[in-house]
Amino acid sequence: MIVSTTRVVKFAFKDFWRNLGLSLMTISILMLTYLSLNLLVIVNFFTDAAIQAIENRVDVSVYFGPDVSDDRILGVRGELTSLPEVKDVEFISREQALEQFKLNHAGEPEILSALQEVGENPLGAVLVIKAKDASSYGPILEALDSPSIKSLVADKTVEDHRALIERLTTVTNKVQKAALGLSLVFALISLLIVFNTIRVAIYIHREEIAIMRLVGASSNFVRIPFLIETVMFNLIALGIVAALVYPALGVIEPAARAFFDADVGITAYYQAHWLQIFGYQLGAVTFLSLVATALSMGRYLKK
Amino acid sequence: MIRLKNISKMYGPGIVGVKNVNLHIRPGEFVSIVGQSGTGKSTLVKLLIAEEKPTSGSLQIGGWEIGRIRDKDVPGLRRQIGVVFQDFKLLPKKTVYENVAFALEVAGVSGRRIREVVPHVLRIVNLSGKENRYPQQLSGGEQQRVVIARSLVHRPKIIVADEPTGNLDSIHTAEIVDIFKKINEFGTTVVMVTHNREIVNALRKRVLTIHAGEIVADHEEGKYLI
Repeated sequence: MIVSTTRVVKFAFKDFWRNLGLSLMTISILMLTYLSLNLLVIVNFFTDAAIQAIENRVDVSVYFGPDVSDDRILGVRGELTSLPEVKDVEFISREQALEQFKLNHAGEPEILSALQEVGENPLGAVLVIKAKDASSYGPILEALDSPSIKSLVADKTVEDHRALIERLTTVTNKVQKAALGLSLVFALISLLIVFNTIRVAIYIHREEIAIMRLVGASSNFVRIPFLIETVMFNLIALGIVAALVYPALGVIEPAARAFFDADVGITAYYQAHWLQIFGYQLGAVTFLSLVATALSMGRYLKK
Repeated sequence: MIRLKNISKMYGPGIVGVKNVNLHIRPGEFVSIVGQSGTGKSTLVKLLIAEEKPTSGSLQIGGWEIGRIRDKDVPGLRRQIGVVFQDFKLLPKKTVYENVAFALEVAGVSGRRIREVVPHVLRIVNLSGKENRYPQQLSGGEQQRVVIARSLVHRPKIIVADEPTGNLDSIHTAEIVDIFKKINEFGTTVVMVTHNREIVNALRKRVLTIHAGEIVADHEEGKYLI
């Protein structure tokens, strides 16, 4: 058993070197597959980042009347925070609102003098609500329309945002669906390429397989070196792709930062999830390659 | 040793490989099977090495019944029968030594035993010193001798040769036939399919003539009649 195991591993390595041209061709095709899959991961990451960036810039500001006490507003804040759709509710007090107003209109003396004429602070406190995602704004808007909250609200930007939010929700859904569709198409193309490459590789070996059987090799003795070679091809292909992807991320990162006007952290994402990203890819493509190898060999092993 | 009772092999309706073949080959015999192309000689060889299964009849070889042999037992059968083909069937990416050793490796023979047996059989076929060459670096006769060496490593009781000299010139043909005669003298049964009239007539051994899938003549010390 140990002798046979050692031999099949040895045969796998020898075949790899002696059929170097074919080995390199198979590896290069597998590299294209792994590159496609990583491109997909990156595209998906940026799609999510883009949606996140847009969603972060959308919020709903609720302006309360100056006579509504902070306690009541904080009560509303608590109520809103407890909603599952709400990510964060920021409380801006009357004083902070006034300061912000003055800052915003620092270059407009007419407005500032009008404010001085009024005397006391005319502004009420504000709650700035951020939702977990664009589709969550609907339930939040409904909550703000409840009578207990509506009676306290002097003004809100809800109406201004409603159309934008709806459009945003539609766009993000479409983008996500398109990304999913693209992923499926890419995955399908990759699978077909891998499957056919392995079939061609085995076809080239068909006479060799027949000869091995002729001199009394069992099916496993013939099959296992090919399966080991398939695993080797995948490990090498993924290794090279990983070595290419990391420097590429270093180039993409600054461009992405400039585009999103924020740190998107694609390199950090890869560093934090490299085991899952490469592990799943290796697992899926290797599994498929092994299935293709076993199926392709089947017909030649029958004789 | 080898017994065929009413063996037929059909490749489809009306396509006959062999038909109602009855044959008994005793241990230690040297049997030549002759006949025109397409008469069923190679089908007979394929049946003997279990590359094909008979459509009907009984084919016993050693202790095996070919019609009922399980796929997983075929490697065991093939390790007991040495097979030599016209087109050599050597592994092109393996050296002479590795090609011969491979037949032992697949059987799980120890490395030490392989290192003893392989040089020995290569000496028998006069290929010592060419162990590290690849098949394409050898002449046709040398390639066929590698195949014979490979077929001998398990000390088989039967050697089946399908047109072993078909691709060789007369000098190499004589060499190969001499090797088979030597192997036969040591007690191994040799079944050789051939077209070569001179070989058959010179051997003066048993000759089976096959025509349209049937054995039409069976002569001890026979001659090439067609």
